[in-house]
Amino acid sequence: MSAPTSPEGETERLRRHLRALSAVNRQLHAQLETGVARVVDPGRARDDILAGDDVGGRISMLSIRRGSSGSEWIEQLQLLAGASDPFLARSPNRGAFVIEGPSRRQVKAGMLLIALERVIGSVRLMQDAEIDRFTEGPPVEVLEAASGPAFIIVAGRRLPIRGLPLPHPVTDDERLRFPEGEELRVGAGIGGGGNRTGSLRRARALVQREGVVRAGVAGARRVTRRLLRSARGATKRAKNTGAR
Amino acid sequence: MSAAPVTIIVPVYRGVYDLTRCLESIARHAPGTQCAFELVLIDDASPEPAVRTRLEEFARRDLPFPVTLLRNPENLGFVGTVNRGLRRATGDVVILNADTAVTHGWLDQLAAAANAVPDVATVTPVTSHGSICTLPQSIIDAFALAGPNPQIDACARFVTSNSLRLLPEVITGVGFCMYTTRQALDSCGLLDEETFGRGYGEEVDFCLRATRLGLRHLVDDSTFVYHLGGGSFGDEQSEGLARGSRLLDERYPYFRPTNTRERAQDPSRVSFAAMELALHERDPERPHVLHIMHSAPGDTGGTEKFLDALMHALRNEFDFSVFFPVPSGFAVQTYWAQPDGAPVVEHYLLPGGPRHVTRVDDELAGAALRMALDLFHFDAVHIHNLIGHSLAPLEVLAGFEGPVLCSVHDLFLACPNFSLLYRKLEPCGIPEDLSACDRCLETIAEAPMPGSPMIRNLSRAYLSDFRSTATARIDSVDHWIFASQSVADYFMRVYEPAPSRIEIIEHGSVIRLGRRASEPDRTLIYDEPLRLAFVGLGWAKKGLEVVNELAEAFRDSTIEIHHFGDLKQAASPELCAHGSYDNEFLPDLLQRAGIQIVLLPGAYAETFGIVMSEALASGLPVIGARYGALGERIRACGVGWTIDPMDPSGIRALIERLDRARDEVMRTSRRVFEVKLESVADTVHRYAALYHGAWARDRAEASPAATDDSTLARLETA
Repeated sequence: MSAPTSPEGETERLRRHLRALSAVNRQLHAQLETGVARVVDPGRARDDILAGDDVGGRISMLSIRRGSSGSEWIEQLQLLAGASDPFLARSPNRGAFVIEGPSRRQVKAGMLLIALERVIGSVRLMQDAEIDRFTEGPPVEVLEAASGPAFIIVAGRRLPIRGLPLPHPVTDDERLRFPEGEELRVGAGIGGGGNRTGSLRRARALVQREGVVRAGVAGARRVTRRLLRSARGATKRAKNTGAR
Repeated sequence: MSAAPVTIIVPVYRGVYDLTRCLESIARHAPGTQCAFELVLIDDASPEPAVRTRLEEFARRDLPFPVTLLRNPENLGFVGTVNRGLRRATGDVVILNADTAVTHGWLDQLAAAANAVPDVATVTPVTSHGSICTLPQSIIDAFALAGPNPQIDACARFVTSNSLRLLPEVITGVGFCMYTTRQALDSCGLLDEETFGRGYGEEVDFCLRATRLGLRHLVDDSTFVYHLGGGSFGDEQSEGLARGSRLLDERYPYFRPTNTRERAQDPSRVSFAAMELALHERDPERPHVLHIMHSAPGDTGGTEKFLDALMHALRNEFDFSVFFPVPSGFAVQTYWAQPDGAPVVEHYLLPGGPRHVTRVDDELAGAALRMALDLFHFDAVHIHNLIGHSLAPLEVLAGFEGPVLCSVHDLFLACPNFSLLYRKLEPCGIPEDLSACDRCLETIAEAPMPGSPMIRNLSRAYLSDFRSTATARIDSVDHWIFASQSVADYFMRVYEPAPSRIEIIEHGSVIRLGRRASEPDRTLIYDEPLRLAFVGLGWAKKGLEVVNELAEAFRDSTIEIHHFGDLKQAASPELCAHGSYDNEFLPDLLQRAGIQIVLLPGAYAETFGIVMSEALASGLPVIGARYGALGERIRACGVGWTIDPMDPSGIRALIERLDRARDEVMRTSRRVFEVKLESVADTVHRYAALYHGAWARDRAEASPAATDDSTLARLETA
């Protein structure tokens, strides 16, 4: 084996070694974050006795809860680019959507809806039938590539997501050290059903806490406050829209 | 290595084309081979007459090595055929499939690897198709190894010249080309023909037997042997694979989990990574600049936007890399140009490195920078921000041979509370008496401003230590670059860099210029409600609280306050929030919203005001703090109104006055259109000169006194 003999050659080799280590380090770190391990030669293993059953699959020790690949949506999302100005819509029973051109794209996660409101404007209320007139498009889901922050695609643009909490893996034993409490449904509460369930639960809790009469008064106050707030917002929006 | 010649055993069954390529490659690369060898060709009763003819022709040729042709009277299968060859061999052996092609120096390199460490049983080269020894897909694609015209010799040269020569150890060799030592053969005997029959799994069994005896298996990451794969022994393969797998699992229950773990960990990963990186090597003729940043490139802050524009403007002349802290240490990201113009963006996470740097002088952060400087050759280093680095880089860079530039984008070097807001409330102006800093630093230590580092032990003593350390290392920087006179003034309240090392280079606009109209929109200014836009990150440092207060105050009036940008804190519902924006679209967004004035009420003393440049590029006047770069620029060009950010009622009164005095808005808007704006691209030639070190040389040749005078004069004028 011919090895570099000059000090310069050895220095350069060490430099390349450091680069490779750093690149692999970064790759391993990305794998830890995405839960997907690089598998050796996954596509060319038909005649490989060493390939075993794990070829092309994921390594269980790294499997963190993740969605399926988002690649299937990419072509459709590219086609939607520049269709028209997107807007958010919500119907009583169908949930929340981004309407882009002829497509409706379901927004399942509440925090995405809130974040999107800041970018493409407030949610418009629509009837179920109106929503159904749009064709079903790819859902608005969080995508993540090997580099850069997680993102969603709206109107053909990649919107990076900041502050998205990532799960930090623990073992099952560690999980079971804590008793289970009330479920936090971060992604729910967008559809009509979800809202109703949440309201019902809140109302039940209020009745239990305050009694029927006081709970009724408190509920009525809350509804009044919400109506006043939405009326004030509508006035301001009308002022802004009408001005230009 | 055994003294006897190496025996190369090639079992042959079908495929005259592949066989010819294999034999010719052995013949072509034989001259100059140091290692004595013989070739044993074994025809396993091939049903193809062309194969037999080809073998006979080759055996008759006058070659510089002995060739023996054997013919099995009946088909024995791969294992029996190899064993026939092994029985003849007296020294080391290479079992070579007939659908391979060897390359220059292959045998000497494999033999050297077998002797590089003790107790080696087998050595397998890297290949185009060979289980864990298979090269990464990018290299297979680069040399068309999966296609009909593979560039075999070119790939071999590439592998040899870019190998790290790590000789990764694996749990088993791979049978397409397995160099097997005499020690292993004497210890383990032949392949297990009785159990594995016609093939599949026998070489794994051999290797695992050798491992049990304390021998090891290496991958020679400096040698490439092409392997077509998939067709050596016809269509029996799926049945044979299943049978071989089952036999291995029965005989070695530990093998499958060990193999699975090895494939996940991939012992050749670092070797292969080095080769993949070599596919996109930098052109060493192009100068290379390392930027030191506080955050990842592409983030939304002004410094990131500026750096992005700077690198884009100079991409034809320089290669760049960016060094920045990440939660798990430090990272380097490259931005190199390739001849076809496509950028090479590679990511490196440096081994080690602290998770969160808060010390004045962090050794690990310094070590990380040294490591970054070792990754590549750099011609210049440009510091943009040392948040998250400590002051260690200044010490490291004292020994750097090329020019070191430091752009003062914020005043972190003057105080870790770089917003310079006393207790997060009002501008401190950098008091000379540090006792005034006590209460402020106490507050900041508990809860820093958004974007500022959390330093638990922040105190007057920390600040003194911080400044004295920076003072001692001030000469590590060859060029201190300020984007405005005001930031230079602030900086020099704390430090005294040599006047010859001070440069004032305005940033210029990070967005493209020339798209605004030729004059203000008269109808918009006179006939429509007054609309002000608060642009940029929505947080306290930039004046969100004042903006919220104004939005509430104007709720019942026709005056509107809009916000463009990410919100980092809660905004008033009265604020018309438009969300984040792309720089390129900002002028259009402002125009579509009917904005007449940009409001920048941050109490923070801006060092340049990239947002102000965006406003001017959009043709809009600005309301900004009377101090810092905003005040300096507004006064210098008359392109807006200055305010005291601590006086919301004064700001409200100004806005109400402007609502009534539209002539004044018109006059000021006209002045905006008269101002000649520069883009980042217009100013980058000055950075390029500094990176090249040309200025430093020119200055050394010129009269030092004259240079100093002119710099001082410029400072004094301001």
